[in-house]
Amino acid sequence: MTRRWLSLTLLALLLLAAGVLAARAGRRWAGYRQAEGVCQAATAGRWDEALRRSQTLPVPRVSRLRAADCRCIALMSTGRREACVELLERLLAEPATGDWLPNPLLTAVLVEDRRDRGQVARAAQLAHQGALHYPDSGPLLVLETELRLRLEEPDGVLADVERRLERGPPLAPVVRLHVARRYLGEHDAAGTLRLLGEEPPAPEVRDIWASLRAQALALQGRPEELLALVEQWSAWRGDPALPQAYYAVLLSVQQLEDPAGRPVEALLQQVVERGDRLADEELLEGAYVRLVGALTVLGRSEEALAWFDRGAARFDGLGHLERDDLLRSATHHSLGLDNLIRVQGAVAIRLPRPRPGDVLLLSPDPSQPPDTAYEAHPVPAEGVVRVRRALGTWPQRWVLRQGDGTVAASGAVWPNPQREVTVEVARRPGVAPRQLPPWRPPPAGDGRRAVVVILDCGDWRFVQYGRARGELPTLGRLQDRGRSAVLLSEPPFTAIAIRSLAKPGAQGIDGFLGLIHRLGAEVEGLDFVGRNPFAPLAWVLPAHTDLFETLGAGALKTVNMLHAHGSMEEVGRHGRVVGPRGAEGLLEGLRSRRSLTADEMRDLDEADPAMLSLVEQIAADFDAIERLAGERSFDLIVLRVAALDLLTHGGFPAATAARQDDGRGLLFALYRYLDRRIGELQQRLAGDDLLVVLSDHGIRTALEHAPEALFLAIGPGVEPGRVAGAPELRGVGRMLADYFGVPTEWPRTLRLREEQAAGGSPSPAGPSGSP
Amino acid sequence: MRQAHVLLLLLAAVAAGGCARDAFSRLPQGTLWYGDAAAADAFLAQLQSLAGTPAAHAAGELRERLDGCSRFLAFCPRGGSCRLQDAVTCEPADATATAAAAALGDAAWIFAGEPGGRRVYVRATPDEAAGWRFEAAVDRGAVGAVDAVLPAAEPPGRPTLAAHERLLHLHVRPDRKPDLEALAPDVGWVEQLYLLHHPLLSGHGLEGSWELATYLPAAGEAMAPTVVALAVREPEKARQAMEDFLARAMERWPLRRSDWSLEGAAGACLSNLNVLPQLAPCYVLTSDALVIGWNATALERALAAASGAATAAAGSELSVDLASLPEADLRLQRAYGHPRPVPGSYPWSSLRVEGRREGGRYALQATLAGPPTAPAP
Repeated sequence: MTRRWLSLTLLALLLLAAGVLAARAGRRWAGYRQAEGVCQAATAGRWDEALRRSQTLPVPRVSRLRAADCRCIALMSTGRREACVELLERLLAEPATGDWLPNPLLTAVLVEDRRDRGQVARAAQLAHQGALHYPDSGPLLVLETELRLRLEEPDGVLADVERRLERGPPLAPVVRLHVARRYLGEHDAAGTLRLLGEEPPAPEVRDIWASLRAQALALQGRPEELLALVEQWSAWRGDPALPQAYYAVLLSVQQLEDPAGRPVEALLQQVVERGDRLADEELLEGAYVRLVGALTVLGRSEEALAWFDRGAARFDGLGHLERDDLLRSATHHSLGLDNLIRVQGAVAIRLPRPRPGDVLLLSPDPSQPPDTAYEAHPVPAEGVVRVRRALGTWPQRWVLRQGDGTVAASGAVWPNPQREVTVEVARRPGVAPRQLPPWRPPPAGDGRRAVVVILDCGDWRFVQYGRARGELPTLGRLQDRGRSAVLLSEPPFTAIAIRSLAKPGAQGIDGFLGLIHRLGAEVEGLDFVGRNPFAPLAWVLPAHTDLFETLGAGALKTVNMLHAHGSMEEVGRHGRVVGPRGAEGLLEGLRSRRSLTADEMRDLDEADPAMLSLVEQIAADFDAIERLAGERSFDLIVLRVAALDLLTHGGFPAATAARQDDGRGLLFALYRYLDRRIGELQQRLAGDDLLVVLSDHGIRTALEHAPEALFLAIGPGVEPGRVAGAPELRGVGRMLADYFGVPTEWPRTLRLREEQAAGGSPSPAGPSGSP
Repeated sequence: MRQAHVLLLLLAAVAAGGCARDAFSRLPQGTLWYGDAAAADAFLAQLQSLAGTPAAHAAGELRERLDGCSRFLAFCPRGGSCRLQDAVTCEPADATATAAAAALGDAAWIFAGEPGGRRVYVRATPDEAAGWRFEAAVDRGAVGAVDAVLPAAEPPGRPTLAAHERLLHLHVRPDRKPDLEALAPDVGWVEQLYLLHHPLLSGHGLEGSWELATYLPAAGEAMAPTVVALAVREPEKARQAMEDFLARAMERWPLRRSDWSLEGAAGACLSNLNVLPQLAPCYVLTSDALVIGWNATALERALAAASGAATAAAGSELSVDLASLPEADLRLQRAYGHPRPVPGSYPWSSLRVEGRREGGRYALQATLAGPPTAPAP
C-alpha cells in the first residue's frame, strides 16, 4: 500500500515537473514566436505590425531583448526616437538584462542621446562597452574616441584606440582618419602622420587623408613636403583648386614660406579669385580672412579693404573681421597690437581761409609714448596739413591754435590705411587757454608730507589733448616743472595695481584663493556691490607688508582713502588712519558724494544724469582731501578717485569718435574739473609737501584697460623731468617710503631724483624740485 | 574682538554645518566658543600652518591662551567690545559654561555667534585622519545676498557641470531669492548702468536651482575657468530673457556680441569685455540649463566633459578640492609671471558641505578631510 502511494506520489511529481517545464517551454516558445514576428515585420518594413506585436514585450529574457531591439527599429523608423531610447534605457537599467546591448546602430543612438543630454561619462562608458562588444562597428569606435577624449588624457585614449585599429575592423581606414583628426586637434602632428601613414587610402576618403596630412606637415614646419603633397593631391583630383587652397591657407596660418618663392598673399589671392571652383565655403572664407589680414599688415590697405568688401558680400560678413576693425581699435584683436601700429594711414586736415599764425597741434604717432606732447604744424597758405599716422587704438587728435594763442577748434580722426581721410575744420570763436596765477612757493610747513591722488583709469592721452587745448594748466605745470613718467601697470587691473601700491611687498598674485579675492576686489568697485564678496578669504592669504602700517609705525600719521571699502581687508578700509606709532583709527565725516554746485553743473552740462552721480562722488573725494590737506594733520594721504573709472569706460566711445568735438563731452569736461580740483588741492600744500598724481592703469578701448599709467610728482627733492622708459607702478610704495626716509626692502622701480640710485633718502628740500 | 569674530566667522563659514539642538537656544547672546582645549588646539594648529596669514596669526594667539587648559570657554556678550582671544578662560565653571557644556554633547567644541546678523551654531568633531566633521544650524534671518546660497528643503535639480579637474563646486536650490533691489537702493542710475532689475536676474524662466564650478586653470591661463549654470524651467523664455539682457546691455555699453554654440546648444559670446583677466563671457542654453562661462574655454571645460548629470543631487552642496589648490596656485603664479612661484600649503584635502532648510533654520553638515597623503615612494 505504502509503495503504491509512493509510486503515485512520484508519478504526480514527475507529471507536475513535466507540466511546469512544458509551461516554461511554452512561454519561451511563445516569446520566441512573438519576437520572431516582431522582427520579421520590422525587417519587412511593416512598422505598424511590428509595433502592434511588441506592445507588450515577451517575458523570457532573450526573446524580450530581441523583440525590444526590433520594436526600437520600428519606433525609429516611424520618427519616435525618444520612445525607442526610453525603452532601451529602461531595459538596460533592469538587472536581468545583464551585459546585453542593443544592435550596434541602436547602441550608437543611445550613446548619442546620453551625450546630447550632457551625460558624457555615461555615454562614454556605453560607447566603450559597445565598441568592445561590436569590434567591427566603426561608428561606435568613433563615438568612443570622441567621448573618452572629453574625459581622459588624450595620449591614453588615442593609444588604446590606435591599438584596436591594428586588428583591422572593416571601417578601420575611416576610423583611423577620425582618430588622426583628433591627434591633430591635440596639435600632435607626429601622431597624426603616424596614423595616416604614407600611402593614400581609397579614393573616397583621399581628400580627408590629404587635408589632414597637409595640416600635420604644416604644423611641423615642413613646407617642401607640404608642397610635394599638394602637387600629388592635385594630380589625383585633376583639379588643383582644393589642394592649393589648403596650401596657401596653411602657409599663411603657420607663417611658412613657399619653397617656390611665391608670396603667400599672392597664393591666397589666387585661391579667392577661383572662388566657386573651390566648393568649400569654409576654406574659402578662411582664405579671404588670411588675405585681408596679410595685405593689411603689408600696408596694402586699399587692396585689403577691397578684398574684405568682396568677401563680406559673399559670406555676409567675414569671420571676425569687421570693416571698421581695419581702421579702428578692435583691429588689434585680429592683427595684433604690434601689427596695428605698423599700419599707417594718411590724414589731411583742411582749414578754410587760414589766418597768419594758425598752428595745428597734432597728437603724436601711436608708436610714441602716450605722454608725448602734440606736434605743432604751422598751417600753410593753402590751408591743408597732411600727416601719416599709424592706426593705433586711439584716434589721432588735432587742435587749431590761432596766432593769439586761443584755440578755435579741435577733434579726432581715425586714419584710414586705404585712403587719405580729410578733416574739414570749422573755426569757432577762439578760447583762451586757462591761466594759473603765478606760482609763489608756499611757505614750508611743519614737516614733510605727501598727498597722492590716484586717478582710476586716468590716461595720458586725455591729459595731452587737454593740454594742447590749453585747458589743463595744473597738470601741465606738474608735467613741465615736476617729474613725470609713463608707469607700467601690468596686468592693468585696479585691484592688482592698488594692492601693489598698498602692499608693496607683495608680488603678483598668491594663487587661486588670492586671485578669487582679487576678483572680488574688482567687483567691489561696482557701486551696487560695494564690498568684496570674498573678503573672508583675506584671512587665509599671506599678509604682506602694508604701506600705511609701515609708515605709520613710526612718527608719521597716514590715512588710506583708497575706496577699498570695509571688507577689502587686505588693502585697508577707506578712511583708515594709521600712526603715529601704529595707532589706528577711522576718519570721521567722509561723504560718499555731494551735490554739484551750479558752476560745476554748468561745466558738466552735457553729462548723462546717470554719469553725474559718479561725478558727485569725485566732488566729495576732493572736498575731503582738500580739507585734510588744509588741516595738515596727516603726513601721508592717498586718495583713489574711484568713480573716474566707470566714467572713463562709459564716456570713452563718445570721446574717441571721429568728429570735431571742440573739447565738449563729459570726459573732456571731467579732466578740466580734475585739473581745477588738483590745482585747488595744490594751493593747500606747503612748500615742503609732495604732490603725486598717478593712475592705476590707462584705457585702450571702452572695455579694455591699457597698461600705461599716468605719473606726475612735484615737491621737495623731486627732480624735474621725464623718467626714461616705463617704470613699474609697483615701485610707488617704495618711492613714498624713500621720500619719508623709512627703510624698506620693497621693490624700487621709480625714484624722485636720480641721486637716489645709490640708495638713501632725498634731501628734505631739493632746490630744483620746488615748483 | 573683530579679528576673533572674523576668524570664527570663517570657521563657521568653512564648517557650515547645522545641528538645531535646543541646548544651543539656551546659550547667552553673543559669541561663544567652548570645548575641549586639546581638540581646539589641534584645529588651531592646522590653521596656524597657513603661515603668514591673518588666520595663522589669530590661531597662534588663541593657542597661547589655551595653553595649559583642559576645557575652555571664550565668550563675548552681544554688543560688548571684546576680542575673543582676550576672553578665553580655562576650566570655566560659571552658568555660561554650564549652558555650553549642555550644548557640547559628544562634540569636541562648539561655536555660537552671529556673523552677518544670523545666529549660527557649530558643533565640531575630529575624525581619525586629522579631518573634521561639523554640524551647524543657521537661523533664516532677514533676506540678504547670502540667501543666494542658503539651501531650500528641496534638493536642487540635476547637476550639469563636469566634475573633471573641478576645484570648487556649488550646487544649490536657494531657499529664498536674494533681494537684488536691496543691493541697489539708488535704482535710478545703477539700473541704467547695470540692468540689475532685468527679468533675467529676477528669475524669469528659471527653475530655481543653480550651480557654480571653477576648474583647474590650464598652463598659461590667468583665470581659473569658471562657469555658472542656472537651471531653466522654460528654456525658450530663458533664452529670450538672456538675449534681451544682452541687447539692452549692448545699448548701454559698446559690447560686441557673436553667435556661439557648443555641441548643438546655441548661445552667444561677448568678445570685447576684457575688464577682468581673460573675461570674454559666453552662454549656451542646454535642454535644462542656461550656462554662462567666464569665456568660451571655460564653457567647453564645463560642458564638454559633463559627467555630473547622471544622478540627481540629494541636496544642496558645496565642495572644494583643496588638494588641487597648490597646483592651481603654481599655474596662476606662472601665468602672472611670478618670479618664484610657490604653491600654497593647505592643512586639509577637501571641504564638503551639504545642507537643507529644516523649519526655521538651515541644517548643514560639513567635512574637512585631513591633509592629502603623500604618494607612496
